[in-house]
Amino acid sequence: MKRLYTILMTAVMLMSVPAFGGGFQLNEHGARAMAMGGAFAGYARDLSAIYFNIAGITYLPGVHMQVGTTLITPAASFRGPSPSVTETKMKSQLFYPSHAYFTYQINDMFTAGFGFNNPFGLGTEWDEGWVGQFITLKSDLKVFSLNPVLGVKLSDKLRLGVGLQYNIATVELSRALNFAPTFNGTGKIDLKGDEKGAIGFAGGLLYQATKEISLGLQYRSEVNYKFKGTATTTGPSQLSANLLAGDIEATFTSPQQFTFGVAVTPSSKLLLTADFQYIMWSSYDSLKIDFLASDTTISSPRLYEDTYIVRLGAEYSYSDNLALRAGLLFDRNPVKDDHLDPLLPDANRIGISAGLGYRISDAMSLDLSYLFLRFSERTITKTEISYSGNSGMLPFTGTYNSTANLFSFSLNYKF
Amino acid sequence: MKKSFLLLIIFLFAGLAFYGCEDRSDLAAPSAPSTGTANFARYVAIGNSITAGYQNGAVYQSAQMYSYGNLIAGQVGTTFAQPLYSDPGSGGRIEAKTLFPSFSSYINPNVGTPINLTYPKPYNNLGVPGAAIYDFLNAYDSNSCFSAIANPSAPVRNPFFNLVLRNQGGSKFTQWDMTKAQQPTFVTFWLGNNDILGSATNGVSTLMTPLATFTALYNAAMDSLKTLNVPVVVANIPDVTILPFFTTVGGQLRQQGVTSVVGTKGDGSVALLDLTKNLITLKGQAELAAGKGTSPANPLSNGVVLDSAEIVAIKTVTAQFNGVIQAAAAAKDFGFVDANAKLNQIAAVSLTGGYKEDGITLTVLFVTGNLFSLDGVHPSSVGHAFMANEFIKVINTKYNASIPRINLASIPGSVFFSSGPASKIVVPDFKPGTFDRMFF
Repeated sequence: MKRLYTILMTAVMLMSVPAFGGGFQLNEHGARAMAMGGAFAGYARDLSAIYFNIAGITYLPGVHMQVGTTLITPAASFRGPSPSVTETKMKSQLFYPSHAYFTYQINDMFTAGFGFNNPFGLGTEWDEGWVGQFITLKSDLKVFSLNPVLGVKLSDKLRLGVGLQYNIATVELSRALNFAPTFNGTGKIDLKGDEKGAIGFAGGLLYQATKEISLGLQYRSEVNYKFKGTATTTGPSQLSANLLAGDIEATFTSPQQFTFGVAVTPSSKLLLTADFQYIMWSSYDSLKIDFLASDTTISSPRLYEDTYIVRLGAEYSYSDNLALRAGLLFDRNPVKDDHLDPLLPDANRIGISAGLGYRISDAMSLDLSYLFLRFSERTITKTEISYSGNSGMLPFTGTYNSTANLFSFSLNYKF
Repeated sequence: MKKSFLLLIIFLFAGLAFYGCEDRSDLAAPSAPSTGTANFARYVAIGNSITAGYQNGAVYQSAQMYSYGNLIAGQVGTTFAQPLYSDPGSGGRIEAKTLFPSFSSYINPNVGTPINLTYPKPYNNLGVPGAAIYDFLNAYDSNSCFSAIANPSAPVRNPFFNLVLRNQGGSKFTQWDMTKAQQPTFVTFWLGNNDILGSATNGVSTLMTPLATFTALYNAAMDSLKTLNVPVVVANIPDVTILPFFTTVGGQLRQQGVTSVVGTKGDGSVALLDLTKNLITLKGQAELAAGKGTSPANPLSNGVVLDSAEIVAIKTVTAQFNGVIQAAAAAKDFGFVDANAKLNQIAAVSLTGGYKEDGITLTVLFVTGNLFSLDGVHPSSVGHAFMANEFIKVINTKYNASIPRINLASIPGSVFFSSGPASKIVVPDFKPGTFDRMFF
C-alpha cells in the first residue's frame, strides 16, 4: 500500500555508523486497482481483494486465478549539499513486484483463497564515489508475502474476510566509510540479511449499505521482522581492529494500517471509489543493528510520523468487453525533514493513473494500467543527516526531486 | 458520457505532462563572496613550512592543496600558484603502519618530482619549509639561507629555497623580492616559528634567535611589506611546547605508570626528570626503545629532552617574539591573527573533551587530535582549514569582507596508511632517523 517500490525504503544508515533497513510499502497489487488510484477497499470485487479487502473474495464464484506484475521505473535526483547545487541522479533501475492470487468458493458462505505478492520493497542505488556515498550507495529490500485467506458472507449485505501473512524478506545495504578527518582512506560496509518467516494478519469488512453504495474497512497488522545476516567491511588494514563486521541482527516493524473505502455506482456503467488509508508509521522510530561479535548496537533515529493516503478512482464500462479507468491519489510522506536522506528520498506525492480492462473471453480477461507519481520537490535546510565520515559531520542539505512511472498488468482466469 | 470520460482522461494526461515537465533547474550557483576593501586579485602567502603546506614530514601535492593559503584563495575565488611536488613528495613522508594496539610509523621510501617548476611567474605561495625570519630579506638559495650560514662548520643547505625561489643565472631574488615582483594586492605573512622551533626540536634552548635580532629582522620585514601599500595580515608564533612532537612520548609513558626518566639536561647534567615538568620529543622514542633513560649511566640524550628550564626559556622567548609581532602589526595597521592564543585555547581543553567545530573534535593530541599530521609539528589538512578560518575571521573584520568560513568536516583526512599488510607491532614506534630530514 503505500510506498512505491523504489524510492521507498527505509532507511537507515546512521551517518557514522552503518545501519540496517526497514521496508516500505508497495500499493500496487493488481492492475485494476492501480488504474483507479488504488481506491479499492470499498469495492474489492477482484482477486486483488486478497490485498485490498479480503471480504471482497466472497463476490467471486467458482474458481478464480490472477497473475500479474508491475514494472516500476523510479527516478530521483539530489542537488547539493548546499551551497553546492550540483545534481546527482540516482542510478536507474527496474523493479517488478508481482502478484498471484487464487480463490475457491467452498459454498455460499465461505470462500478460501491464497495470495502471493510483494507488500514491501525498495531499492535505491547511487554511483560509487558520489557526494552522499558515506550515507548510502545501495539499498535493496524485498519482501515476499504468502497469504492464506478466508472470506465469509455473513449476510447479503455484510461480508468478512480474514487472513494470515507469512513474510520472507531479504535486505542489503551498503555505503562507503570515510576515515577523515585524520586518515586518508575510504572503505565500504555491506550489510546483508534475511528473515525467513515473519507473521502478521489482516482482516476486512464490506457492507452494502444501499444498492448504489458499498463501504469497506480493511486492517493490516504490524509485522515484526528480525533480520539475521552478515556485515562485510573493508578498510585500511591498520584500522581493522576498529571496523565493525561479522554477524548482525536487526529488527524492523512494518506499520499497521487502516483503510476506509467507499464505492458508489450511480449507474450500471459507472463505478466511483474513494479510499482513506491511515498508516501508523510511528512504529518506525529507530533502526537498531546489533553487531554480535563486538556486542555493539548501533541505533539510528528515524522518528517516522503516522500518515495517510487519499485515493479517488473511477471505472466506466465502455462496452461489455471494455472498461476504462482513471484515478488520483495524494500520499503524504512519513519522513520528517531532519531525517530525510538519499536512502529513501521520500516526499509528498501526487499520483495520476489510467488503465483499461478487456474481456478476452468469458473465462479470461486482462487489465492494464499506468500510474505516474510526482514527488513534490523537497529542499532540506536543516538536517540531522550528515555525510563526511566517522568523526566529521557535514549536514546533508539540498534538494530532492523524484518521479516514478509504473506499468501494470494482471491476467484473470476463472473456471 | 463516453466522450466526457475520454475528455477527462485526455485532460488528466495533459496536466500530468505539463506537471511532469516543470522546470526544476532554477537553482542558481552562489555568487562570489564580498572581500570588502581587500582585493585578492594577486594574493601572496609568505611563510615557512606551515605556509608551504608541509605535512607528515614532507611537501607533497595532496597536502599542498590544503595549505591554508590555497584554502583562503579557494574561498575568495582567486588563483594561487604553488610549487607543487607530486606525491609522495619531497621525501621521507611519514605514514601510518599500525594503529592497534599501538601506533607505528613507516617512512615512504619513494620521492615525487616538482611538477610546477616552469610556472612563468613567482609563486603565490612563497612558503619555504625551514625559513627563519632572517631569510625573508636575505636568503635566495640553499647556500644563503640562515641554516647554511648560522653554523659554518656544519651548514644545513636547505634545498627548499631552490625549489620555491628558482633563482637561475646568478639572480638573487629573496622571498621579499618575489613578493614585490608580483605587485600583490593582498599578503599574508607567517614567519618566526623557526626562530624558536628548530632549537626546541633539537632539545636545546640556546639556538633561538636573540630577541634583539628577531626584533630588528621582523620590523625590517614589516617595513618592507608596508611599502607595498596593500592589506597585510600577519600571524604570531604558537607555543611549540604544546605540539604533539613534544607531548606525546611523555604522555604515553605516564599512561604506562612511568613518572620520570633519566635524561641529560640543557646544562649537561644528568638527572631524574619528572614527566609532568619535562618534555621528551618524538625522537626520544628510539632512545627509549634502545633502553636509554633508565639509569644515570644510560640517560636520554640532551637532544631529545626539553627540561623544565628550557621549557621556561622557550615560553619566555615565544611571548617576547609575539609581543614584537603584535606591536609591529598594530604600528603598520596590519591584520593580526593570534594563532598562539587559539592553539592555547584548544590545548586547554584537550584532555577534557576537546574543542568542537563542525562536528569535529580538535585537540593537540597526536594522531587523534585531528589538528596535526604525523610529524607532530605540522598541521593536518583539517589544521590548515582551521587556521584558514582564523585568517578569514580577521580579514572579514578588518576589511569589512564576508568571506565564508571553511567547513572543517569537508576536509579529507591527511594521514596516509602505508601499503601492504600491517605487520606485528614494531618498536620503536618511530624509527631512528625519522625526523632527521624534517625541515621546519
